[in-house]
Amino acid sequence: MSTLNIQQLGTDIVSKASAVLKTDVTTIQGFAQQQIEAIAQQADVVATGIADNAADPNQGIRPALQGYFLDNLEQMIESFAETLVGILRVVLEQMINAVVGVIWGAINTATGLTLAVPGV
Amino acid sequence: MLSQILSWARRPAAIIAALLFIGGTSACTVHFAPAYDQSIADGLTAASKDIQTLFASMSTGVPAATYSSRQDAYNKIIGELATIEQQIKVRPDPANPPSQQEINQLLQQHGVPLPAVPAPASATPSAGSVAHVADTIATMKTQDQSGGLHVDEVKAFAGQSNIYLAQAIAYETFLKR
Repeated sequence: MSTLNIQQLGTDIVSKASAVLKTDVTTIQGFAQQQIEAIAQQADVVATGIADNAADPNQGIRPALQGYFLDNLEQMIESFAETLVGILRVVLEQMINAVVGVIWGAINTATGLTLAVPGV
Repeated sequence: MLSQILSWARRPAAIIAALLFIGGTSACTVHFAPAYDQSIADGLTAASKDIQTLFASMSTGVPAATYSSRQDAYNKIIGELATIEQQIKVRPDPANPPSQQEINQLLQQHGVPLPAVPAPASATPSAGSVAHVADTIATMKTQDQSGGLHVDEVKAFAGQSNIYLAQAIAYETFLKR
């Protein structure tokens, strides 16, 4: 019966965790980029609408709505940040569970047994 | 080379081991986010479609006199969003979500830049995003009924709705793991 190769286990853990993170970070970066561009575009729409209304009260964004849209520019940034944090929690969960799988696999190899990962 | 690998191996492994201990899971699988719910995802898709259809019908601005032709569409969307928000809220939260500090520490180890954000109000941010979409549509409905909508106002409502919708859809999609 062989003992655990600690060095190899450490390397495998880093490799597995990094692979999980690399895939998810690409997706997260895509979402973040989309949000940043959309929020910047929205800021331009609101600013243009306010300016248009100042030039012609029958056009643009009326005063009663200007504060509403401006307030929401701030709220949507906060909401974006909260969404990002929520997604990062999922990434962290995936990373930990992937590492647990690596460790259990190493134990099974070392012991010659087939132990199921707890909780699965 | 070997010392570098060992150095790398120790830090994230130590942090992950600490997180497993913090999670109190004794190496069990952990859950830091709610379960994926296909009905919520389907609901968001359906609501998004109805919202885009509504905005397409008013892209050149609309007078209050024609509001009655849009009232049913508004009510349908607001009802759909209320249902989705309720579904998200009643879905069980994860038992042991990690703190913001723990997340930052682990991801900074991998060179992931993080914004300075406050602790989230809930483990399910999509409920807040959906609530914002609902508020946007409701506000637009009120303005439409009382005074119609200028082109720039439609654009602003559309942009705002789509930003919040994208947040909710992105988060719920990410739960499918």
